Amino acid sequence: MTPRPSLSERIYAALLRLYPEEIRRDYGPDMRDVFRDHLRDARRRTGARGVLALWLRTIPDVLFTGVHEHETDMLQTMVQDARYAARIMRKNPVFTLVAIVVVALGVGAVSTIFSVANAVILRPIPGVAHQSNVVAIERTRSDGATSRSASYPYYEYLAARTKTMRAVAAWDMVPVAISTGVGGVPGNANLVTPSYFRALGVRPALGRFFTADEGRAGEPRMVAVISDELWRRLFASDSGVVGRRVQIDGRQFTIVGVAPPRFTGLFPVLRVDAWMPMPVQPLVRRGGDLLRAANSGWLDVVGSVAPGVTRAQARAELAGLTTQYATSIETKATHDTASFTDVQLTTVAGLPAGATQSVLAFFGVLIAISGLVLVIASVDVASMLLARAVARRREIAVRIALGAARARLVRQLLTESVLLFAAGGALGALFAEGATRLLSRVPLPTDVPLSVDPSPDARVLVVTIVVALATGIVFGLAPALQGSRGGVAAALRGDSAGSGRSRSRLRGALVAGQIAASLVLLTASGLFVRALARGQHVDPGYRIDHVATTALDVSLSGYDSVRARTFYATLAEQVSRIPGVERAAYTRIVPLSLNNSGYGITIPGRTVPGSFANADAVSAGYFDVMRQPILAGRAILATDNASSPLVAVVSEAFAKKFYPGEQALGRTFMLDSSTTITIVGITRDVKFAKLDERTGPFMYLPIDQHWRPDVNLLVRTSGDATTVLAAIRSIVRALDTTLPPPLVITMERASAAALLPQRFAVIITASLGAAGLLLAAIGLYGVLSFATAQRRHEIGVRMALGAAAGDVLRLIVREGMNVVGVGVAVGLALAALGTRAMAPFLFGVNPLDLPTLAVTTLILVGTALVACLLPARRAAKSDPLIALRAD
Amino acid sequence: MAANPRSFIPLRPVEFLVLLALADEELHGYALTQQIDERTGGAVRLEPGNLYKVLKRLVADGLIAGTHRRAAPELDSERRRYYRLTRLGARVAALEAERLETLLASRTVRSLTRRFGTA
Repeated sequence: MTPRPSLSERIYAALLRLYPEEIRRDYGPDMRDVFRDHLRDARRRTGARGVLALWLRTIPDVLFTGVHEHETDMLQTMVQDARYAARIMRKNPVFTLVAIVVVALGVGAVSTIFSVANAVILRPIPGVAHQSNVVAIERTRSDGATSRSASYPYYEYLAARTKTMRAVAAWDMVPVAISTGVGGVPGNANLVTPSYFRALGVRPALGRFFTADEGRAGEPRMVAVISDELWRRLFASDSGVVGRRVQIDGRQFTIVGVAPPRFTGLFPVLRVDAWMPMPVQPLVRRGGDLLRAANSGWLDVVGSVAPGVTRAQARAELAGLTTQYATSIETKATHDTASFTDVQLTTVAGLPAGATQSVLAFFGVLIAISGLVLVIASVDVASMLLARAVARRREIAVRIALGAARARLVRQLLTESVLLFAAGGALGALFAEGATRLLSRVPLPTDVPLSVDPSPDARVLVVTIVVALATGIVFGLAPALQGSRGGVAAALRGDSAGSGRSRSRLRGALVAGQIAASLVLLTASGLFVRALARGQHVDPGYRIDHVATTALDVSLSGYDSVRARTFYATLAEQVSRIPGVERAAYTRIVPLSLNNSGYGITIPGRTVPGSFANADAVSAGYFDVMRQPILAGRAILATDNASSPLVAVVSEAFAKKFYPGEQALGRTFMLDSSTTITIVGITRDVKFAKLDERTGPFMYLPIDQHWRPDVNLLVRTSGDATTVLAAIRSIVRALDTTLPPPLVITMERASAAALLPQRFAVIITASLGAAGLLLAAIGLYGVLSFATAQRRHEIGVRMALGAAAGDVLRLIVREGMNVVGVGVAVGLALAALGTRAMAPFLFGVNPLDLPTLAVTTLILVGTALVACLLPARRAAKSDPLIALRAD
Repeated sequence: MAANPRSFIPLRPVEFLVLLALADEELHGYALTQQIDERTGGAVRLEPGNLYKVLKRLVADGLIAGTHRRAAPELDSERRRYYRLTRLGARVAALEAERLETLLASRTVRSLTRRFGTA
């Protein structure tokens, strides 16, 4: 009789479970004995301390040897299984090839989309040393609204006082033309403070970055740092480039340094060719001298948190400084201070902080859609494996009869599918490489120089491999479990007539699942097509067709404000005399260019929370040119100039928000509690910056009363707007030959960027939808052909007993379509649930859009019908005698 | 059919220690660890996992064999499995001992122990 085992013994016995069963069976009792002996020994000698010491030796012993035993055991089996699987694959080259290509299509789809998402959002910003330390500093108002845009004085205020940040920097993106001589290629430059490179931890590849002297406002030095890419493209990688000249927007800059390879600023998606020190702003950026303007927010502020300082500490300090700044005397009552009381610090992520969420959601939807293609492809392969399992019944039955354990057989069959998926995944990665290359060549309808490099990197590769292996296991499991089922006697008898009820049920379920996935996929694709169509026809509240536009800022060529006003007036007058031109007007911001600007609003005698309104400055004729109706009062007129009373035309939402239930016309309000403005007109609500924006209060101020030298000319034409582009360009040239040639384009083109995500989504989902439909059709056809072939005997009997060819045809098609019906029902339900995630990108197209659902269902059922008809016809045409003799 | 003893040479030190311990008498696991512990002055301590890893290998190679469980007198007659040296095991152990002897007899070893040894 044995005494009750002690706690230590029981723990040890439990630990022995770490060993493979075989070892445990053979040596477990002995090992427990030895442990017990050691334990007794230890207790006797040193008591509890001895027991502790024993455990300290025992635990690593169990862990190391336990794992080791498993390793050798599993490794051997795995190598064996893999060898066997490779032999099977070689023996069926067609099967193997088809399966690998199908998997490659599915995995490739996921991998491609992930590559693009990776390039746009996930990849670390190239060249930035400690990205996790670099934060975007955004201010928030008490009503929760945030603003990225800060004025230069605000930046200076922070930079001079902060103790929690290692460096604070400000920067702005400027579209420029760059060359070494005349003309120039459109590109981007960044205006940066000298602290910019330090804050980002970037080191020059050649030369140096900017000095404190070069950053002193009011003393512009014409120096520039160029990008590695520009250095290669324009200077043929000249190692002596420092000291040479580069022409930016017609001005000569001396190159002082070259940025490290691949560094292209904080938004890697946009190509940046050069960096210029902040003080040159009045010479190169539209908008006049902004460095002293406390009322214009135009800069992004970033900083790197000092070592040993927490985010919370930094935030508290910066929030305090922001409040102090807002109340400091010299900056009081200006737009830039409008009630900002707090800051938000967000780790820079390569996109404007506000955009990251929606971009993530957008790619989430696309990745899910590509996942559907993978599911469909995987089901194809699962069906193929299942069919082969039927063909291999005899082999498997023999192995079971010879004593193979079921678990061992499952592992063997699973290894085969995982190997297929691994090979498919490798091919899929190659496929993604090609597809991303193709995608990056798709011309985008925008003039923004982009630098997205969507080629797969290590991260994409890892994800691809994991996805391929995981799907291999998931979709190999069902066929493996089915294939290893018993039924030895029947199989050995060669009784292949009934290939198993559960087997055909599984096949049916696979096909139905595939149909369901295809339906969701096609619906998603259809919805994006509808959204693009809707987006192109969405009514922003004005008309952008038959409008030409160009951006101008003559102050960059040395015009003072008097000369500039004269120039613009002459230009508008001459342009409106071009045949086919109805009217010309100016606006500070081109609608649908994704840009916005705004002011804090004060209504005398009352407080309205969140008193903020977006604004544009426009000239007389703007509402005519844009065909935007004035609902009450009047439009902006030429007489609303600097010497007349300040007025505004406001939107309906503005009137409703600030004067609820009252007449807004004729009332006054104050901009940032300083200038009093009278409302002279009410216009309709519009979508101003982008097509899917929410309606908010908006005001139109006379451009002459809020003068800045940067304007956009808008020209309404009676005919095709493209016919007047050249004429407008030559008028500008004729007025002043020293001006850089302006880029005159149609407004449709200027606003194309507003539909960029939808265009991209249509390209992607349409190709994915087509691939998915094809794969589903192949799968359906394959499964039905196989099932029909299995039933040749039964069909032969039916025909011998007098069934007509038509009956057989109907029978097969009916059975096929039953499965399709189930799939469509499930698919519709899934689509109803899943497409909701797409809603933010659909311009208000209902995710349950009935026409889309109807059309996709029709396409799918039609394709399925064809896939059913082909094997059904073959069966109906077969000779019953031959069919009967078949087995 | 019997494996060539030479093919096992050289042995791993711990394997040689086990064969040596079993040279005079049959031992159960715990006694084996005690023996080895003593023989190496506590330098080699085998915990159960490691011990049975070595025993399993030696059994698989046919150098030792396990007996049925029988009473162990010094452990209040609790039942234990004993291990004994096989003929092959004995020959392998002898070969390994000779190899070590030759090695230790070399002049280099002698001068090394004279110059750096503790004894």
